[in-house]
Amino acid sequence: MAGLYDTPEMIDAFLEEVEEQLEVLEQSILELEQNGETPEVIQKIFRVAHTLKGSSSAMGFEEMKILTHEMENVLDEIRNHRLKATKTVINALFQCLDQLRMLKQDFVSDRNNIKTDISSTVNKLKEILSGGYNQNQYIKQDKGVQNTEQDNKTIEFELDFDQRYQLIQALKSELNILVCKVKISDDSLMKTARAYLILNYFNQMGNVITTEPNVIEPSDDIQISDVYYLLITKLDAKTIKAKILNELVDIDNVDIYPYDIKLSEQQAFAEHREEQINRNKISVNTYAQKRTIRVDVERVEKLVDLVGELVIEQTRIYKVGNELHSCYISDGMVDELLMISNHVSRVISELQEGVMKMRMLPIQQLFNRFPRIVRDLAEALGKEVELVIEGEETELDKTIIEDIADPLIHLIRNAIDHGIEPSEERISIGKPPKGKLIISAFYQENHVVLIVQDDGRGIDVQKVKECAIKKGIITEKEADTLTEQEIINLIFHTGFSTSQEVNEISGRGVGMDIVRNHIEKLNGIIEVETKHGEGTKFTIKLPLTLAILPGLLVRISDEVYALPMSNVVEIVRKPENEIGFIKGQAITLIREKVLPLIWLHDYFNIQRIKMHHKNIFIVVLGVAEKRFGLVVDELIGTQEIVVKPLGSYIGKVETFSGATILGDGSVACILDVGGIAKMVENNKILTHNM
Amino acid sequence: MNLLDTQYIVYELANEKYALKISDVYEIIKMQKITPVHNSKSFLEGVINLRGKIIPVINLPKRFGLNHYTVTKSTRIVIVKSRDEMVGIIVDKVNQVVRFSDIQPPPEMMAGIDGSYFEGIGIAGEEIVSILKIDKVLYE
Repeated sequence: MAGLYDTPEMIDAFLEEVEEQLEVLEQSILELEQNGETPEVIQKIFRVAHTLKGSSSAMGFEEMKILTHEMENVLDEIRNHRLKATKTVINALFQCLDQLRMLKQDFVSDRNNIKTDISSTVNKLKEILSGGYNQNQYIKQDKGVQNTEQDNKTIEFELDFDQRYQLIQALKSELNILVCKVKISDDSLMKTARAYLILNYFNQMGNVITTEPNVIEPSDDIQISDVYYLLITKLDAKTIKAKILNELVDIDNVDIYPYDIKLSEQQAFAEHREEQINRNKISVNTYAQKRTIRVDVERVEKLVDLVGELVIEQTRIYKVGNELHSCYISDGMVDELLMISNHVSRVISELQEGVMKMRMLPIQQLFNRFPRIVRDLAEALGKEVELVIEGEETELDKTIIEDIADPLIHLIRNAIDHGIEPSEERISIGKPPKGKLIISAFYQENHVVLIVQDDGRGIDVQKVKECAIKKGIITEKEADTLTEQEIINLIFHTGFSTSQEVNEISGRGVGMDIVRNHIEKLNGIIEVETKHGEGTKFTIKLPLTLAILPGLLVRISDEVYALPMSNVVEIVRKPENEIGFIKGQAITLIREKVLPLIWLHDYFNIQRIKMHHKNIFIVVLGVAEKRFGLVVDELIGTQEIVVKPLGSYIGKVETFSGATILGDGSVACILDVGGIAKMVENNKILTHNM
Repeated sequence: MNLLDTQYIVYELANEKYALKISDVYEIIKMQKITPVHNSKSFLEGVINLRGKIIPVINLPKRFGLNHYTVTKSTRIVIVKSRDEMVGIIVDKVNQVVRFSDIQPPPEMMAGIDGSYFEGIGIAGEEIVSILKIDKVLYE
């Protein structure tokens, strides 16, 4: 059988399945550890082991088969309440998970040379098994009885790829999938032969996928009384039952019920398997479309760039077209050009959407790694940590997900190592014994915000200060002039670490500055909020670097700027005499709310234009809870803007989030509303001090 | 690498002649509309669009604290590639490509500019040209 599945496509499919299953396994074990034993979670883990066993044996991957088989045994015991899912068991399961990963790795590098030694894990599982139940043999015999006593639906058939495929096909063509439990009379002489005859009988009514026990190639010592047939048929359960009871002899009882095919699990599996098998069946030459393909990110990036160019050029064509139109109003050719231009722009916007989506992935795939990391760390440090993950569905650019992984993991490590206190310490200061670590992701305007928050010790400002002075990062004199926040930000300084000794969990003072570097590279912002004794909160704000977004073009003096539409709350026109001043700050009333007004002219050192008309244009901008009015000299219009970074030479400029290219080929800076709000705030503080 | 074998591009700025290694120069383009980027580096003139790429353009006289330039017909932007980034430099005029017959170490000060900005003084026939250390000029 192994030969049939030896094609590269099958191996790929196998590996993909293993990867998927291992992820489920990891989640389930964590769930088991956290929420304790529930039938569902045990069943989930069991199913993974079972599936892996099936596919690994189909691939002829002995080691994985043996290991999963042992896992299955243990889980089966738990499922039947003869074993408890103790800490030892859970740890053993984790060990299995790791070994399965290693096995998979070995399989990838050289399937004929599996280096991972599974014997210790297998022994451990066996130990657990014998500890839970001394007579293995007895359990085996017991199994059949157990099954009949229990809910019938617990029957699990061992299905290989082909059989599953048939099941899925049957589901699609809306055939019945039935389990037929036939109890052969005790006084029947040749039970095996009888069972085989029944199989043939069923095959006339439909298609028997498999039987339990195996009646086609029965082992010698088999004691058949109950036989399960997995049957695909057009007939319904009642008809079959009636027919059997009428037409067959030597049967005590028949029980027929639909097979509980686990849809959610099977579906995904089935769909790509379907394609695999189709391909095998059709011909070698016609390659069916695969469901997923791996593409070099750079290729996608190139596409995004090109689409960006297209968007820009399209706005230019549109502009030229309109100009032509106003010159040659009655020319049919120009009309046609405009029509084509419109159509092209529709196609481009669809293309743009598609390309952008190609790069977006839910951050889940990164967050899924955290429970395990947190668990292992907490275990190693003897701390109790409750992990809360929020917003894992938040989608963001794939490259960002990859680049943000290290900084996030680092923050998590820090939180557990330095932040969260050991249980005794927590109890003594009146905190719940379990530390809480919250990791969340959400959108805010055109940013993705990631938060890592713990309820631990918080950062000791005094300690940071002392350490920074000791390490020569700042002098004592400087230290006195710094605000608390500035001191806390020193943790991002190169060569800074408050941990007394170097340990394997939180590095050696190269930590936080790497976090900072990573985030800067992504053009992001990180902020720390900390309260001594109450915890620390890191907020990472990442822009969607390659986004193409709707923007509002405005003119300030003779310069054109773009504003992300998502920041624009409203646009109003106000007579100049409705502007008041409070402590030198210009304000105005809009919808009964006092809004500070900002002339960017002042910050950019350009002349305010004397208005010919009395009204001024105010673009009301919002960022987080802040609102303010930006006074502009002209509203130009809205346009899709392709965000281009200003580049590392210019670096991060607070007021701009990037630049974009306009229809006439010139460049306009994109205003960063959050940055402007901050700049204005800082300036205010300055004027106060003066 | 023998410095004398290298080709240089000579350009004029505020009536002084400067040179850049030809391998540093990516492209020379005509003066175009430069979009200012406020609150950035003081000598940053702004950004331009070079075939869809945003390229910063710096003002060399401002960098050296010299007089302001005036745009003429011959004003050019020399695009250099330094540290994998393209940066434009405004020059009054691009003269020619030369090989120097001699290159001497730079004096401490040169036309009011700190000598450490220069690789050396190139001599080609009658001409004396200051060779710029582009990395230092751009980044330090």
